[in-house]
Amino acid sequence: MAPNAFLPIATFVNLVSAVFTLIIWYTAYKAFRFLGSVKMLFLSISFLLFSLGLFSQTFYATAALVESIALPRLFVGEGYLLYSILMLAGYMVLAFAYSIGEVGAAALSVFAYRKNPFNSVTRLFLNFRVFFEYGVQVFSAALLLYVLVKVYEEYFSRKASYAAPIAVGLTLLFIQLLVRIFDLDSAFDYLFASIIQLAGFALIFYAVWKVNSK
Amino acid sequence: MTKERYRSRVSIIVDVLKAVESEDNEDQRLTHIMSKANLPYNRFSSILSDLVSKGLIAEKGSGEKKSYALTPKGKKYVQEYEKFKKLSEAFGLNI
Repeated sequence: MAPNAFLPIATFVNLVSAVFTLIIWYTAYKAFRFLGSVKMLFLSISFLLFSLGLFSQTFYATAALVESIALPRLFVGEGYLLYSILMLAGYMVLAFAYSIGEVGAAALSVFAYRKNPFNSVTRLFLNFRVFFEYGVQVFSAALLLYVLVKVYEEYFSRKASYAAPIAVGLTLLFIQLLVRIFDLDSAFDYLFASIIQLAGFALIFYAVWKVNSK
Repeated sequence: MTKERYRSRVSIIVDVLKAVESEDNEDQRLTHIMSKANLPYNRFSSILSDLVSKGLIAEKGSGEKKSYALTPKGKKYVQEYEKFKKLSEAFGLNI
């Protein structure tokens, strides 16, 4: 199988993940509207960002496939960067959802009292785009690790129903981030990471669907 | 030491609705609902009249014989609350 033959499959896998995250966003948003909980609002926004990231990646990857763009350019192009940033934003908002009520004010102050942090980020973006993309992935992984700790703490203390698939799903998302950080240099790695990501979102989707269908 | 948890407005409403909903399908008296919902009279009466006006609770009789029952809309509200609460708990988010 030619290396680039994995790309259409990976693109399709990402599209399915995008649909799953969109449904999770809608369900979480309905929960926010009903409960008025800010945590649920952050949860819904995070999944909306995941969905936008995955849809954008699907779009750019499809465009790259149509134009027969070489594989390395796909991983350092605008599409993959936009995807990485949207996913990072999603993980940031998700981390906020778990930090509110404990270190919420402290976490927000990090952003409120900094002098325009985007200046330095923009410089990095212009000069070291590849490095920046890896940085985004590493930051995403760190945020998700924080979320994972909180989720597993809650899981072991409460054993809430359907908490297990969500915890495992988030763990898979963390693993796919590690794959992207350490081993993303071929179409197969890209497909592998996309499949793990899909499995993660599918598990979360399953839990949300089961709860919602009762 | 456990943290003291405050009830949100939605959870107070659901507590009132659950207090109205009896296991034997009998209509509930005001004092019974109030003690089950664990609310002071002033707060309870404003919430109760609000829920009656929104059609979540049905008011029957008058004066001292006034009683309350959960409407199908009220039952649906409680079910929706339980569903979304379960969802937040599954994500490990305490609401």
